Amino acid sequence: MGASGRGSSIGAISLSFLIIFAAAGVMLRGEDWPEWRGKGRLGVWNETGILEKFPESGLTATWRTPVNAGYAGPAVAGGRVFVTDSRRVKANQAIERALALDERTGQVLWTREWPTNYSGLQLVYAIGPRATPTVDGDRVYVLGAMGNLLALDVSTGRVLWQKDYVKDFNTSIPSWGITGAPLVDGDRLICLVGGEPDAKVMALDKRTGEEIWRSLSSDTEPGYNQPIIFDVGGVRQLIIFHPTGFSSLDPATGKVFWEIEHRSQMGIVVATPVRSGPYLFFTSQYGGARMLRLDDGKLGASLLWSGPGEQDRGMTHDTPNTLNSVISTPVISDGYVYGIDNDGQLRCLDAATGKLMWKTDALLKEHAMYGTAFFVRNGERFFINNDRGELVMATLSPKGFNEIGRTKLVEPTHPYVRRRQLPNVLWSHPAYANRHIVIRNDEEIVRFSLASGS
Amino acid sequence: MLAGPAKAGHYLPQGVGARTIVVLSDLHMGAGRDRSGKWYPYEDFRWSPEFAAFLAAVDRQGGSAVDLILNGDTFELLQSTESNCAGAAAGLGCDEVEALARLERVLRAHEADVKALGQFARAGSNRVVFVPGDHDAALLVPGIGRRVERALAAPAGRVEVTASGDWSSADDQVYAEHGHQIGPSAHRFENWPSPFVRRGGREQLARPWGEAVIQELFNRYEPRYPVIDNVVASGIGVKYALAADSADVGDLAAPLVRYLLFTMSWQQFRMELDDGDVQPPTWDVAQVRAQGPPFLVSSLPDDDRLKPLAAKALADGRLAQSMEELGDDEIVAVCDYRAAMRRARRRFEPVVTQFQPRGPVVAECPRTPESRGAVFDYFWRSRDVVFARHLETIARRRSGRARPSVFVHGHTHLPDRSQTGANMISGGLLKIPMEGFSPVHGALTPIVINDGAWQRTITPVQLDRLASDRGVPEKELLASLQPEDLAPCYSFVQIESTGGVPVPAVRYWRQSAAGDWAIAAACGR
Repeated sequence: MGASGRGSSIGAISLSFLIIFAAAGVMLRGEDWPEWRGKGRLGVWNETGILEKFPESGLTATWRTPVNAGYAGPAVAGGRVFVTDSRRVKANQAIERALALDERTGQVLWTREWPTNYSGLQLVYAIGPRATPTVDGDRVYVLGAMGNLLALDVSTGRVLWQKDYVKDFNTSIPSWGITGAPLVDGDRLICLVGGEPDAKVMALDKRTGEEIWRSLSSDTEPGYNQPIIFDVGGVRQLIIFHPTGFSSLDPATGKVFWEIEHRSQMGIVVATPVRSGPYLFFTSQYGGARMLRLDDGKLGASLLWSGPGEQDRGMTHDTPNTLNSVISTPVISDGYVYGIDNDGQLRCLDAATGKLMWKTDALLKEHAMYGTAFFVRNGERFFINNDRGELVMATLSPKGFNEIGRTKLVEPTHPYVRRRQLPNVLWSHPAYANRHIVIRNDEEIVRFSLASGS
Repeated sequence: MLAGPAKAGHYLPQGVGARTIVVLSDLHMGAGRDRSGKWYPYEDFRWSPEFAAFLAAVDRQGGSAVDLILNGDTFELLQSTESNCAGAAAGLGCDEVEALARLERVLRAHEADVKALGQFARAGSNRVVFVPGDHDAALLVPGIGRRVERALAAPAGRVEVTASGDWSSADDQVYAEHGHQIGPSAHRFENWPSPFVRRGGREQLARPWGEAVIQELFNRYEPRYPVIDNVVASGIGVKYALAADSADVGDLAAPLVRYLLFTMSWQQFRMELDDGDVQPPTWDVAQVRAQGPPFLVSSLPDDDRLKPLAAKALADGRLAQSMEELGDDEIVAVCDYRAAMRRARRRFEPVVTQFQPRGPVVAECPRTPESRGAVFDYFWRSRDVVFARHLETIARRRSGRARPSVFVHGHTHLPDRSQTGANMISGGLLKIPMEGFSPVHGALTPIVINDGAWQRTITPVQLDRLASDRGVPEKELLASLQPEDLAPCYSFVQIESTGGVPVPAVRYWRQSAAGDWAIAAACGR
């Protein structure tokens, strides 16, 4: 009895521990943000225990740490925040830098610098790195605006290996710099290089930097997109959106599975492709919108519908269209596409037909060329960072845009050539990790809690 | 016998008050029609009714207080259906007697046009000024210039042929010259405005090397392909003729490659790519020179109609001398052109050049190590250097006078267009739309502006589109097209004064789809 009772007691204690541990696990289960748009590049943030509305007094910063300029959003992994920045030293010469910060305190743990030269970049936008760092276990891969790729030890910042796209791969840097954040796939680091010959996309050995494969001609510029892998019917496809069109590659070999030609002027293809079920959506300012249908049964895709772009005859940025996003990556949710058009309007399209369901200026609160916002899904809600430095919580449905709350996080500081209500913009994608948002501008990186009760 | 220019500085009392200045060039009035009434194939000016209507409209709009500047190549005195001038064999042009004979023929053939000009000159306080160009440099012979002045039968002081080879407004704010003397032009005369040489006791017109190369080819091919010299920029049409006939031009190949490469490069490469204050790279000229003659061929994209001819000239060993003769500035100009063409084609720029924005790319020239990096954005460097130097030369020549704020030229037949994105100041934060351009990067003055040609013209892009629309091979299209088939649209520069500041703009005398003629801001083609 006693034993039994003890046993019961021990069992009860164990159970209690398990329950507490499990509950704590639920409560404390954190989620990192190791790369562009979070794990898998999907713009999905799965954490629970997130606040339902913003405090009237705004969010409280956990910490603020000064940084230099750059568009690169932060990545968060293993208790560290990684970000890159740049400072001008003389004329077009600059020092680019990777930083690791303590996620909890914002203390700088290490920095790693490299010199670069922004000659030839459009100088208004030549403020710093563009690509979000990519974290893979004990390595972080950082990429400068001029194609300096470094593999760094996450603990120390030690350089494990490095490549210079220009010198090593004969890349012609496009006007707005190198932007494609490296993508880890198994042992491979897949990079949008724009090298020659035939090295628009390359897979490097993630441990050594040695070339594994190269693919796609560089007769056209590489564009400004992000490589992404989707599993379609059990086949993993590396999707590259580039100025010549859409290419599906075998991530293991670089072999082309299928391609659809779709030429976009000026090389401006920025918005990351998004997929939902059979839908695979691409959008750009000049090329317009293309919705492809993926076929699980065979390796290929077909055009489902298209919307005109600015390059099409008779089109201007004021002509009615479907969704021509310049920078902003749209989302597909429950059969509808939501995104920011190049005039700054938030739009909803029927994913099956491209029909415009509604459009509104309510998100940016101004009708503005190149208006931009970043969408992250959390459950039924979306957290949307607009280029005014605001965080907007909303639900999106075919009925409309329902704003739950809005709060200002940081000042927009990126210079911009067109007239807006505010003199500057904020085009850096934030990270959502461990119930916090980490966001940067050209002066500071800041962490705010988004946990319930914050 | 030629006596060289006289009366230098013989200026009319030009451009004061609220006068309008209208500058047009490259009319190329030639031999007219043959005895059967058909146009000679060399005749490019077949537009008497619309020219008269244009003059009437300009007169009306300017309140009969217009300075009409005919900015060179008004008369076609180089190309002739008659036999060559005696000095041609020695690489020279006509003497005074020969040139006057050609002029008389042209004046007879264009009696209606001369009459319209005379009528314009007699109205109100209008004035007509003839600035000599490379095709009518003979106007610098005093006797020939006076013959033109007399032909218009206007009161004294209303018509002038400038002996200085250029024209300035009275306040020196506006300066015009034909344009063949700008930079390393293949049409440049050594001693302008005294383009004469004395051989065997005779004064004869000199003949620039580019002229010698290109005129012979136009003479050969224009009867078969009448619009080849309507293709802009001027000179490019030869490529189309050579490609159509798969011609072997023998020893002409080498100078032709050099000529056309420069035609396409610094002066006539029209783009709107200057959208940012960027620092251009430094081309490694020594490395380029080390490439030798293949550099010339590799500067042409594979779809360039000149490429097969250039490749053959290379294989035949004919390009070595051309390469050796290239100056550093010329190499830089070609390298700039390669970079511009490469960028335009690698990212499907919209129609930023007169050439197809899609097609094979060329490699960049090698850069010096310190300037490796991003692609090259500022493509106008070579052009700016050329014009800045030329403006300096003008300033030195006119020592003591105000520097012009507007410089109008023609010669290339390719007008400048409004470049809304081309002039960025304040570090690129503010774009100022302007017509023409300033060779001082990011500045608004001085303005350089190309008046194009008072001609019907067609760009290579338009030619390709036409062949595609009609579904005919290019050779067939070229053989079938007459100048009358081209768009009825003629460019000129109009300069109004705003608060004492001259404001130039390229304008077009254009026929609408409904058949009406009017001055417009674009051709609408």
